[in-house]
Amino acid sequence: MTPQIIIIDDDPVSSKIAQISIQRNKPDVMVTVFNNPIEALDSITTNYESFAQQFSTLLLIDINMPEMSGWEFIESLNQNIPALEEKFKGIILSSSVDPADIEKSKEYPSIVHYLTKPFTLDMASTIDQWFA
Amino acid sequence: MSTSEEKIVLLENKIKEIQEMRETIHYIVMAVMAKNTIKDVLWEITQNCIHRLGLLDCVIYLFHEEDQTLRQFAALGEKQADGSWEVVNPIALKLGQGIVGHVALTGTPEIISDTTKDDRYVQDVDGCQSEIAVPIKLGDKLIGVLDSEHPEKNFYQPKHLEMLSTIASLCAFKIDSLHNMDKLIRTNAQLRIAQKVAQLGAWEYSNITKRIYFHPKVEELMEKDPSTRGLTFEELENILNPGDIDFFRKSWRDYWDTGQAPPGYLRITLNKQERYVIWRVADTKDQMLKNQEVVTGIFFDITEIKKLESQKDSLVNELSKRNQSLSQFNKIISHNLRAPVANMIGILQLLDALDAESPEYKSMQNELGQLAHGIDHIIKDLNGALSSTTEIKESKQKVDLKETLWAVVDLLHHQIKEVKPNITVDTQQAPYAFAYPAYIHSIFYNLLSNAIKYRSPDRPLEIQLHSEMLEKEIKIHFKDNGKGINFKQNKDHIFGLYKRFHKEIEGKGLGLFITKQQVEFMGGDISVSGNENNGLEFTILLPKS
Repeated sequence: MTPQIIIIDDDPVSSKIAQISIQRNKPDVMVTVFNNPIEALDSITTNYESFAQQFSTLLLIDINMPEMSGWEFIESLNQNIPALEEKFKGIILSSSVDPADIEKSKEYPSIVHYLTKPFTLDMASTIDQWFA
Repeated sequence: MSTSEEKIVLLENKIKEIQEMRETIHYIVMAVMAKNTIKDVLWEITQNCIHRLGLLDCVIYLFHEEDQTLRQFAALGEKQADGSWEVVNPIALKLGQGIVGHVALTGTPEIISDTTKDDRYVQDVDGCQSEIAVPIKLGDKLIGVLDSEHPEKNFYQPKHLEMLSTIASLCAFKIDSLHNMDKLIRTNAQLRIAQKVAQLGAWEYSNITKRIYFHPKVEELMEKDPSTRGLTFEELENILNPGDIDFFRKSWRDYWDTGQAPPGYLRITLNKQERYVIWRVADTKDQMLKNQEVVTGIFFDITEIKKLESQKDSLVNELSKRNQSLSQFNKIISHNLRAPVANMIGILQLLDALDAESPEYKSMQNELGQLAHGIDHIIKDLNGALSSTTEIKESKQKVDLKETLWAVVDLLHHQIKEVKPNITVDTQQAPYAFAYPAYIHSIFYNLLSNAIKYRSPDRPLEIQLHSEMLEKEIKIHFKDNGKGINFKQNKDHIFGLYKRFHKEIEGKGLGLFITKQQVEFMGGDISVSGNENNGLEFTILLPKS
């Protein structure tokens, strides 16, 4: 299955950095960027069945976004998609270095890792370990 | 004269003597009973009473239990200082020493007809040859000795012994009752001091008069004729906080039903001040009178304690608010500053890897410059925000709302010139707020610059400031006709950190967050209403004092 990474981050610069880094190191990975989590939620909810058939999908989720927080995003996704953690793996990508945020990420079964911004080329080269 | 006539004369003399004794005793009883201190009693006995018995000298010794010694206290004759109630060179005798000490020890009165023949005799005054000593005792308790000496031998007769013994008993009784009275008065005074210090009082309810009596009295503290003692239930309920009347009635009912009443506090207005008073009905088992004619209890003024408590509470409140804003500040730093810095680091390492001629390189380079400016902006913003949140050294004062708004307009004159908003101010009803001037300034600054930033491109900007006076607060309305926000989605978020609703406009989502912090710090509240088309209306409530 084709590996796919969906970036959900309101900050266009930060998502661009992640996108370029991944594309340089893992050109075979398909990268999609959503700067609005609500749009991301709609799109993923609509397409998750076909995604599940075609792609091995990893979500890179920011926490602090104006429309809805990363946590709210995961919770909504969880409501919309049955057995979410079997279909998608998620990684938090946040500028927050607050230990409380790192702890909180562990409460979500679909979140497998926590990365602190910026997204680096090194991170890109090891990202495939998280694909299911 | 015949024998029978002699007998009659003798009898008549005897009757006369008895009558005289009776009169003397009567006089002494009346005189002693009228005295109120031990000193007065004893000097009265030595001065007047003894004189009426025809004695030349008399000394009263008082027994001091702590060192088992008898000391001269009051005297008539040689031992009395001229014209004053002092004993000259008062001597002290150990228990058992001398005739006085001996009488004190045995408790038996004695007449010494010839002191020269008694080894125990201790000379106090020159030229005395006979002595009489009578113990002053109450039951077994020794109080002192009544002692008299005379220059003639064989002067003292059984009638003297009888009279002095009577006087001694009277004296003992009187001194004892004075002692008790003294103790009672002292205890009472101590109790009153303790009550005052502890803010503690007692009350009793009489089932006969149907009134409650307070000790110390509270009638003076009420607008009530203090000459009618005690309070009826109605009078008491009149000074109770209405919210406490039910509790008061219930605890009273509970008492009659179960013999117990739960303790609790009541708010009572005394002397125009509301006081917090713990009210306790003594349990039936503690009641002095079991017949329920009187119910007793205590009251305990805890107003000061309550005051301290509320001071402590507001301190804790203030501290936790401070703490909260500190932790919010931490969030601002960690997100608003950390995010662009992280981006800069990310771009820098990408620039190393990217081809310098690629379009990505150019766009990243461009972003880098913007990020640097953005960080500069945030730091300036933070500086402004922080200087106003930490500036609590100055105290709250009257702040002219209109004046403050115009000062802010002045500060924003660049934007104002460009946008030319129509600003109307109506603060006639409530021209002033009682607040921190820097906060009001900062609040108006944020609201006004937001209104300018998020104005609608379709219509000229209108801004209205209007204030009104409420009972305990002043209400400030700040209205614009800008873009507004989507209330369905965002109403709860508007004052939160990082929340921005218009991506195309610069801003860090700090302003309204800080505004809310400042309003709340002054004990007020801020809310927002309006709709997407007609702009926003912020409503600020600030306490009057």
